[in-house]
Amino acid sequence: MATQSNSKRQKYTVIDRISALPDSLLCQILSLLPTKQAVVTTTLSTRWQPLWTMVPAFDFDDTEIQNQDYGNESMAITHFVCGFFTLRKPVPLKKFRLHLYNSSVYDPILVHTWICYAIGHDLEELDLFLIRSHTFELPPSLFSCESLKILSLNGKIPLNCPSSVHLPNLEILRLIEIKYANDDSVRRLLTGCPNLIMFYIGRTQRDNVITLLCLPRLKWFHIRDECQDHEFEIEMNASGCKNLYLYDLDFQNYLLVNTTNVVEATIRDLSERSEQDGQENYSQCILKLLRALPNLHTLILRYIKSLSVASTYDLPYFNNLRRIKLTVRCCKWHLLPYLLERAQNLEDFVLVKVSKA
Amino acid sequence: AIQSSRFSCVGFPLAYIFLACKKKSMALKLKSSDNKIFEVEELVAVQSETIKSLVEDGCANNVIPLPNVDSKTLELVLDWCKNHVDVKLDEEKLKEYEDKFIEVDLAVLYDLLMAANYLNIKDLLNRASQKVADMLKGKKPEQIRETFNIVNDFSPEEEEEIRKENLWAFEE
Repeated sequence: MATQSNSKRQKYTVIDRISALPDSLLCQILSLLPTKQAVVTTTLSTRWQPLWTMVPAFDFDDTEIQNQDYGNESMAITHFVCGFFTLRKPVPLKKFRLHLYNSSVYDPILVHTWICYAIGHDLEELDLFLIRSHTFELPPSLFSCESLKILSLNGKIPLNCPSSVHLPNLEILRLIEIKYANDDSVRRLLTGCPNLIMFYIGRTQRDNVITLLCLPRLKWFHIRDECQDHEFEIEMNASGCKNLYLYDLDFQNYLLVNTTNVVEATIRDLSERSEQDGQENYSQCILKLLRALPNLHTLILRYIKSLSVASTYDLPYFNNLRRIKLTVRCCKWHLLPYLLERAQNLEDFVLVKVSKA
Repeated sequence: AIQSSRFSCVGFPLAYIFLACKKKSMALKLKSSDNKIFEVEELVAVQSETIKSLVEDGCANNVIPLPNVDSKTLELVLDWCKNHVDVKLDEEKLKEYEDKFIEVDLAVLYDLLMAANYLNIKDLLNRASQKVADMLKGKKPEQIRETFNIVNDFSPEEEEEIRKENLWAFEE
């Protein structure tokens, strides 16, 4: 009897159950893999052979073909992408991710065509990272792609929005190191996304945007500004904003209104302001910001050296604050006891000290 | 009976009573393939789009039969739903829970995948699919066959032919 059940169990474990899953499930699983790997499953068995042609996603980055000689790289990318598009079945392509980190040579016209293909196949998520992209142009049809939910652009891609932008389903927008054509282009883009929930913007060098406008419906706003250019302004009506992330921001020029609904704020400042004046100015700005966030639930401050010179009189009361997390390099923080005193309902306090290196 | 239950409420905070009443009136009964009955709050159960549409169509007054899900799997699935109903749950803690939840045998993972697919519970389906994808990631075909007990039913000639057809994808 015992041996029988044992052998039964053994038989059970060697059964190939994954191949018995329905096509739709297997395709969903394959869509989570880099496409190169999804295609390789074609050699597993007859069951798996056609599956990759129905996968609704394309995901490729050039680190996967690193072994190619210089010059052959661009050819290998072209072979791969064209092979994929030519041989796949006419099914939707919901996700298109193309990251070209190293490739100094790729054909911008081909990339343009691939994106057009994706737009024509119910594209929901576009994630593009292109280096040396000054001659690259995004297809105008991208800005009226109704199915698009997530747009992520990275790597000096020129952004010149057409006069009318219509992205009614866009919820997440990430713009990192983008070359904006002008202020109007950004304004058009943001006003064309009425249902945007998350907006991430990263600047590592000066672009020609002077005023960045933010939408009242946003729930999540994250800005990282490494160039700290004094002309850059942010105008934000954040009445719906719950999560605010301000990284390395020069606080001289910003206008935040209606921030009363923000429940979580993370502020980071990596810059080393040596002059006393600069530090004082900066700490004033941060305190002004904190005073405008009366309903804060979680406050995360990272490396804000300038606050060490802040005057304790200016510190507001945080009656709703439950959680504070501080990451510091030095512990010369006379403000801390006052901060804790003013957060009477605090439940959770985390202090992280990191070494200067 | 009504009066006695009223009396028993004396001394409880009002909100608690409301919560208790709400809970009771919104319970759903689910029946697994092996005929076990699970009583769950509607709020928990309607995370399944399949159950949600049954409720909306007014078909959830009696026991809801789920002929494709056994009791062992249903118990797991309902635990997942219970932990995802409270949106206030800390993101870190939720991730911790999910990571622990998905650490299961392959056999259980398939059951969860099938159940999440049938019940249409998006986040569970995504998490379970991700787990399988992670197990596939970085493996050569031979290793994948071994991990998942997939039998190679190609003849050597056929396999060579497929390789040739897909040379564009095999360039390294």
